[in-house]
Amino acid sequence: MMKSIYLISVFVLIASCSSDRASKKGGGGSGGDVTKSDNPVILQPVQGDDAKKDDVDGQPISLLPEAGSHMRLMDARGLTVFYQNVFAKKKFGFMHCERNKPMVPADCTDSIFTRDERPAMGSFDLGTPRMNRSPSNVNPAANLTLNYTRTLRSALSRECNSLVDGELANLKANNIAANVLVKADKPSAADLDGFMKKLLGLSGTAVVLPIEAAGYVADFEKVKAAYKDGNAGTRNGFVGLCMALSMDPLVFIY
Amino acid sequence: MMTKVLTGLLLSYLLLAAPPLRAEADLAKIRQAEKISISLTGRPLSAELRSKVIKEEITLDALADQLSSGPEFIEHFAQYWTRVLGMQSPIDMYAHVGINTGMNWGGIGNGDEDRLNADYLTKYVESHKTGPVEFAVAECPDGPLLIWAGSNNQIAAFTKAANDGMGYTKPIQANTQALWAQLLQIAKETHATCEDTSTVQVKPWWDPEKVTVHSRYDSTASYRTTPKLLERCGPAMIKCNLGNDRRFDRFMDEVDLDVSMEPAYLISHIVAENKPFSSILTTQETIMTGRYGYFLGNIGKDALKTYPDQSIQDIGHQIITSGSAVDAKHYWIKRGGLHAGILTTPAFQILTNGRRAKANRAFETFLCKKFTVPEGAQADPSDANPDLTKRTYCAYCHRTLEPMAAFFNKWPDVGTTKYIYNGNKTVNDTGRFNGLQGAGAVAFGKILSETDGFDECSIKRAFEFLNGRKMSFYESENRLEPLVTAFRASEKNLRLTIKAMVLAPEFLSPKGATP
Repeated sequence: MMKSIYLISVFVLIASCSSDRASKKGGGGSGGDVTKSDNPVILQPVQGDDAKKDDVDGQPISLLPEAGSHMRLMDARGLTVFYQNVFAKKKFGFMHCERNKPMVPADCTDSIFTRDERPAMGSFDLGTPRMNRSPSNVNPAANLTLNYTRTLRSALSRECNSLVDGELANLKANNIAANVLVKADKPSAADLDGFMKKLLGLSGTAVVLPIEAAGYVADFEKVKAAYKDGNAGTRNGFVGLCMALSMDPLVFIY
Repeated sequence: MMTKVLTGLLLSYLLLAAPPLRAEADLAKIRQAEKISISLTGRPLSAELRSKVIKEEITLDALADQLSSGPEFIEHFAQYWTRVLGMQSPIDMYAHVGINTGMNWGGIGNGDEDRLNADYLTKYVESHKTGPVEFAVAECPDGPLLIWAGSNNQIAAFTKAANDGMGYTKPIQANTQALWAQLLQIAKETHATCEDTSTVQVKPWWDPEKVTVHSRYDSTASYRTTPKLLERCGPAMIKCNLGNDRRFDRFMDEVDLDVSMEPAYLISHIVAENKPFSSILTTQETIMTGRYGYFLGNIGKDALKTYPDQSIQDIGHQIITSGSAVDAKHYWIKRGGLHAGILTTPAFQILTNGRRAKANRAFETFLCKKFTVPEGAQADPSDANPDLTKRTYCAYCHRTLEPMAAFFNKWPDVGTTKYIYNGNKTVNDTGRFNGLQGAGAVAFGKILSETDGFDECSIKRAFEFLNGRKMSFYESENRLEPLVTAFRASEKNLRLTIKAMVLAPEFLSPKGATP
């Protein structure tokens, strides 16, 4: 059921990034829209959940801002500034240093991404080869797209799992004052709005964020209901929410 | 009537006394401010600036103005330029400068060699009982331990020779046993184990505040070493370094990074400080970090021997004479009349292999052009003219490239990627480009920076920096010219152009950006 939450987050992501440009209908051909070969595999374009006006299934998924756009994906350095609003540094730094201590302390404390992940997140770093931080600039990523979102999800997975585990423990101990996401055993729209505002540095403002918090609350219930073990359902529901919200395009597209 | 007057007065008072109702920026406005910040500095707004934006206490114009002259812009813009210049990994200054890493145990062999007679060993003891040594770092649980590299291995051999009179396989030579005993003493005094309680604490010159060579020692204040090594290396180990154990040589890693970033830092400061952008190719000054200066004043003294004039004008600057190994601040440093902006920095010279490469890299980077042959041009294998400016096909590029490369005739040709200036006056470095002739990188920088193509390319680079892509054909056709005109009118102040770009409506409200 974790997949459901991930799929929801991907849907939100794609829906937010897709252009309003009228697009060619996918699937090839017309009428029956059948792709033929010697060993025919029949492909049929269908309207799916991710369809919206002027957007149909069958089109390649692109997470790039439109060609010629003035929008960009934020790099690892910038993202960490936002993410440290909700993912607090531990004694050892961010979660990728939970087990391994690198030579350079800043690798733990300055980024939620490992040094190997940072190039995929668009960061340019001349590194320090002697201190085992060989740079990865020889073939810098020409475009970020899928590797970017995969890497982002990987890093957020570490941080969200840690965040939710810590905050659920606080909840059990009736000590939720410092919690940023888990305010009760199930989220409210206001809780999610508060989390998102904290992430974006907008706490205490009347700014309205377009994050469809009520929809996330409903999805949380669905995820939780799918688990026989209620605790596991709650945990995974919160982890999914954490990742979906943290991967909102409001955070990483600018 | 009286009541109405009083009510009116009361309302007036309340209106005057009440705090003014302050508007709050909407999300679109905040996002625009974030976009300006991220584009210019690579980072979202600071909490303080975001608060000002939300309270509408700062305009987007003022925000762009403030951010485009700050240290985070300088770093972010420098990263962009370092990438544009083609820097893929840091320059290794050890490979370019003869840095003395101290004495080692070379020449002593295993005790069996014929040369190890009393005369040889007397001299060996004499040369090895004092002076700086090659360090090794032992990773002890409580902190790093500095020892003489190899002493541990030598102790076993010296003990055998001193106590048993035996080399590796045969007896030591006559009248040498006492000398072997002295060597054993030297080795023992310069070696320690993690458990050794006779060691002393030291804060070496490269880590004067706390241990930074490994994050596991993040809360460790000082190193340990033997009393003898402290005596031999001097206060703060000033005569020794970690060049032999480069895994831990954080100081030189940082110096390498600073040297690699020098051209880009120079460009960034010129922009952030409203200097004419053309000076990136003409200024005699450069930007050095404090630790870069410290390097040049201490273990990197020899580096200056290969500079033009074999020194720099600001050799007496405090970062060189009395600076700090951990000073990361930026300083303007005067170099001398043979320097030309980034073209004569060690990074640019080391990055480019040969004179043609130097000219070509400058041409591509600052004119946004590439040497190409006309479509359909064919090489002629039978044409072996050694003069590439005349050989079929090659001539298309080389008739321009060769005279450009001549500007660098006093810098190394292909095969030497070191920073070496040839001050020999008989070497002719007169070059030609764009119908103008002059001598040296200084002339090339001036000619290059005064071409129309330089101005256009400067705008295109600024656009790339802000948008992460090149200008589209439409943008080149419609937006480039007015920007170039404004750039020239502002005496090539690129910061103003960058400001104008981030405040443009199409930049702040791109299609699909409405939250």
